[in-house]
Amino acid sequence: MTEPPDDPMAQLREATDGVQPSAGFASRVATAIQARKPSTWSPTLMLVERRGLWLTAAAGLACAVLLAVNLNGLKTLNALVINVLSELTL
Amino acid sequence: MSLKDACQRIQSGDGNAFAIIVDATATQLVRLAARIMGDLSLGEDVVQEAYCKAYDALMDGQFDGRSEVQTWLYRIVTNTALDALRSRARRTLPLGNADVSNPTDQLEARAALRALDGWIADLPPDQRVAIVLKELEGQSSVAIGKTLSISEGAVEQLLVRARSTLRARRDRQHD
Repeated sequence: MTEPPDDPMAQLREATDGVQPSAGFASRVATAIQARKPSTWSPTLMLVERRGLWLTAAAGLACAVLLAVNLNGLKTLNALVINVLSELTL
Repeated sequence: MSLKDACQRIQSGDGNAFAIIVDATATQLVRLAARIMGDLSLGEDVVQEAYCKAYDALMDGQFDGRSEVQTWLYRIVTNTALDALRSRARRTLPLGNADVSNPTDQLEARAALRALDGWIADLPPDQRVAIVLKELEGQSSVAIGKTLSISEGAVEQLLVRARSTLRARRDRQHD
């Protein structure tokens, strides 16, 4: 079946069926993708980078608690918490 | 290797596996983008940007593999092209004037794209995309709606308006 000769969209569909990427397109894409990859990229590193702020905060809090326990011996938990919070706010 | 396997390899750190996806999809996606933009070079720019978006999405774990990779990329390319058309419309720049990088490459295809660009030049970006997806890419209204995140009824409205504009244009040319 042939398309009606006065159907421009059908003619344009057929005329543009042969459109292909120009030479070198794939290599340009590869270069663009390569530029987005950190040189030391790895899934683990990416996870650490993404979670880094939270990991740092959690580690800091843990250190503060350990320091407070070490300095204050067997004080009650309430006192330890107060110490930690006061040290964090200083 | 399937495209989903390639995606998994990329997500596990093998960035070179992206070339497999490009090799398998570039022809279809560049033709789609070139038809929407009415220009091969602009179409390639759109697809390159879309590939970068897809790569970033894979790295961020945003592609869950529930849809086909090609369908997913098709949507990214279409919406990237739509954004480019809207951006150009806001800046009121003419379309189709950037295609000067290699004028001897694919002469016939470039001429056909210029003709297409001229024919649909009067359409707003969303109507332009809808008519290209329907008439040139052979997509259903449901599929177009999913791609553009609008209802099937909204797609039909876009198509009615676009066809009305094109019919009026053809009538003017025949007179």
